[in-house]
Amino acid sequence: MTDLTFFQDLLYYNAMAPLLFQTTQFFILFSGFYLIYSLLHQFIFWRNSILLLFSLFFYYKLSGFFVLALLGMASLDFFIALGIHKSKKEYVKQFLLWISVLINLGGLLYFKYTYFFIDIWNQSTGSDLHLAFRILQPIGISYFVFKSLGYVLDVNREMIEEPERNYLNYLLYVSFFPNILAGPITKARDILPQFKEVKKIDAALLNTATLLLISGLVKKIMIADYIAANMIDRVFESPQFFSSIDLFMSCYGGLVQLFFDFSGYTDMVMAFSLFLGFPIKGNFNQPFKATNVSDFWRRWHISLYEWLSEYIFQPLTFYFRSYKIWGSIIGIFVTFLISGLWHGPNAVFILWGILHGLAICWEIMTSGVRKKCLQVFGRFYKFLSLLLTFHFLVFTSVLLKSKDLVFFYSYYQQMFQNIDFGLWHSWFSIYKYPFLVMIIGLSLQFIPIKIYDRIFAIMKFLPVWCSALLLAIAILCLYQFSYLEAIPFLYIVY
Amino acid sequence: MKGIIYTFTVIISLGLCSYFWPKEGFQYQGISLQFIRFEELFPQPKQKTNKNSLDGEKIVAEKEKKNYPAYEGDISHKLIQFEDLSEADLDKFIDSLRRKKRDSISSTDFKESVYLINPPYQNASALDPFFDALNEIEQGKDQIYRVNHYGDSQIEGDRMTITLRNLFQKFFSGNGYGFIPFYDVTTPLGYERKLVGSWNHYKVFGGQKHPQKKYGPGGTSFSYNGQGNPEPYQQIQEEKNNPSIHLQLQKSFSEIGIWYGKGKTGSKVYIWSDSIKIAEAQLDDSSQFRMIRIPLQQAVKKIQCYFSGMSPVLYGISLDPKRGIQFDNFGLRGHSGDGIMTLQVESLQLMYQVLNTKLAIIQFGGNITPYLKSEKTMAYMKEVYKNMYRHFKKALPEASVLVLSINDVSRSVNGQYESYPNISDFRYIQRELAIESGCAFFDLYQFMGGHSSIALWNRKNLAAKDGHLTEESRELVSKELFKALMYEYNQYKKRISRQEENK
Repeated sequence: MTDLTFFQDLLYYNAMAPLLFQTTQFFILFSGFYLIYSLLHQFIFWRNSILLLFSLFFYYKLSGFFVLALLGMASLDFFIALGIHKSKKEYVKQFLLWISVLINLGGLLYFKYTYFFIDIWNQSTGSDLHLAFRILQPIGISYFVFKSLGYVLDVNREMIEEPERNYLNYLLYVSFFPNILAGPITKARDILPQFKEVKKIDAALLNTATLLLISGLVKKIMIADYIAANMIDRVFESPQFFSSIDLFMSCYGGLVQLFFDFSGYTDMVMAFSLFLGFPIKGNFNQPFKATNVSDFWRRWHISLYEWLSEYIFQPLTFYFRSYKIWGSIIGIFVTFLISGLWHGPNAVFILWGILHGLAICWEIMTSGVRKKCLQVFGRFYKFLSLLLTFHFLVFTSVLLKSKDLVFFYSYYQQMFQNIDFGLWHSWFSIYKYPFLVMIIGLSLQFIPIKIYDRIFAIMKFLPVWCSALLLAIAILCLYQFSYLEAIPFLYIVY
Repeated sequence: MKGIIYTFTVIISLGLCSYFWPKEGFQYQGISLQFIRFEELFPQPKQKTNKNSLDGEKIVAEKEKKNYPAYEGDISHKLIQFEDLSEADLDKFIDSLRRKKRDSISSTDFKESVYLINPPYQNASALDPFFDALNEIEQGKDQIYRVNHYGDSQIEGDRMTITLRNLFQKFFSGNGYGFIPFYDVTTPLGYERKLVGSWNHYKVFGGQKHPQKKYGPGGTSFSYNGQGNPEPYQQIQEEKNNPSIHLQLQKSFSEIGIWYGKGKTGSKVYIWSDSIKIAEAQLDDSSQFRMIRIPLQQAVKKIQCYFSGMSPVLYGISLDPKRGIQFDNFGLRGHSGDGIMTLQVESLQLMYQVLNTKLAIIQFGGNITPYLKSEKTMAYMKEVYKNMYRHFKKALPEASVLVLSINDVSRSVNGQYESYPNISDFRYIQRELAIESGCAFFDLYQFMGGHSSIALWNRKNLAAKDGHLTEESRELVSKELFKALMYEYNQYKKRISRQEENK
């Protein structure tokens, strides 16, 4: 007789143990699901239905009964989009669009920003306003709201000529489990048509997905979690107990951890999506090769950058086009302010957004001079730009790991107090392994993409059983590194 | 079809590995290769429970409701606003305390204390669950009942707790040091401790946080890095970094308790005394909290615990009697108590059930004195403390909670030491909140003499200016508290006998 606790844990929501890709629980659930999915994948209706059920169950395991909030918001947008498409009168379209914007942004503001606004109110008026109840934030709300709102905006702008008429397909688009947790924010016009096609699950697809999955697991477990547990987290927990060299190195490590955590997660999302037969776009393109901050944003969290660019920056610059360069600057500044706020209801994120916005504004204003410098100094200037951009990213990323501005200030104060680079040797003797992992991780970023492409191309020819065995071996190896239990993905909180 | 072949290949290959993977893992050049084992995925119900091992998840939460004796609970005469003592009166009062301290305590000293309030709670007194436990000890019940003493630097390193423990154990039997953390900033009283190897120390307050918020009842947890060596002692001696804790005790013990949480397969502890292995035990349970009591082959004063395999979540060790009462010191320097609320009520409940905690003493407040500047901050702190007391009360539905008030603390103003303002008011807030939440209350601030008493205590070498009590004054306070509690306990016993007579 078997203990039923295991199955109860598997099926019921537990706030303390959300379902994450790198857990045994997810592996078992996904394997079971995938066996059925493989049998049904050629029958579109059954395939989409079982995928929708699994996606909703996955979200239930992440956020409990907030799955109803997701269903409610998605359903409203589905019918609003149909209404916008059907309506001949512009004011009706606008009215429906505003309802959607209010519901989506209202939901997002309520769940994510209520406490933030109350704090601002209390601080500015000196009052003591507080809620009699507690608001919990549904996981991934920033992502599914942007997905659903983006769809309604696309229908309104006629970027999507025919709105989705199949309710199940639309729910599947919003709740699609691989990217519900933390993106990439897929656009409806990219993925909805795929739900109507018969997808072939062949060896090339399975092998590519396997390689992506292994890459994601390695990035997350071997690099991000390893340097977090062995070098960075302890410093960011109590910086007052560490030397300036510890704090300096943790700035670098913090950015590397953030990248490998999010990039690892994105690889896993792309892998699971590919296993199902639906390729989705990645979120990163070697961001540390960026030679300026705007270049960085074309390489980092690409789906968010594209979303903000398409739905906020472009309309704003169009609206302010008469102000010429200042119109662009206003657009950039507002976009990055929103980007900062989107990351979290905290002054540190707002400051982070503002700093990035200011850096891009500076680039626009000095573009002429910088072009000339590039012509004169060539490669050296490019290298210097890369180095400067990297350090800007490193030192602003401390904000993303700070709980508030006071912490951020004290971290910097501590970092620049009693600087003693003579401690480097003792630092290195303690942290040599995390440091090496960090350097290896960074070096992997500078390998030309064509080498990765070649590896993927070779992988495609492997027999299916061979790539399955490769995955099993990789899991066995990575298990040896999972000293701590699964550390949640950093971007879940955004 | 390809998808099915692929999935089956992965499942079967990993399933076979999981099924045949040895429990202790594959050893290669000192590295142990581990994998999740089949029985960890599909655990079999246990045939036999180890009576030494207390598993929280198996303890039935719904205990039989105790039938406490009727309690009139008139505390109105104690709910007074105290007047501050004049310096001369305070001086006399302290001298009288000092004189009494020299005498050993007898039952004639158990008199009603104006400083202790035992309010009614659910048709009984707030302290009845604790008194019930004391009564059971007196009736010879073969069990350990625990008191968990929470506080800040005022109690860290077993301060105050040690006196309370000694007094209660003298009257109700028991011995031992109670809870011993693997590491603490203080030098422990009564034993020496050395931690070897690379360890992580997690705290709910003022230090590294556990990534999964796994803390023991005292708000701390530990784990070692790497893997220990299960080889014999001589070899371990050579490996200086083998994760281990070494204790040199003043008394001999024949049993040791290990407090731990979720373990990994192959985690083990080997207990040695000098060159003799005296016990070993598996620490690979999947429970959230467990206390395993390991009998030692002989009573020893020197204990070395060597750990092997991947680190489970470790909370600490304990040296306890076979029966009687035990006090655990959970002092965290700089803490104001709010960090303990990181621990969910359900988790605390589970831990208290395993430990058989019958009283929690909550002694926080000293660290918030600089912030009690305005009505706004007072209101905020009131909210924090209300939640804290309720948190403990919810976690201890079948036990008592005793709140020890804030003590007087001074700070330098223009070169002169003065008490912080609003301490007196906050003490009344603590009293009100404690009674509201069903907790007993001891007015430490008033016992010290009220406003500005710290100056005189300092002059008489009973306290530092910042409010930290000295060894002598800790004993004064502990004895007063003990006597006050014993008076209430005698009243409880009288109520019991009246109830039995009425039957």
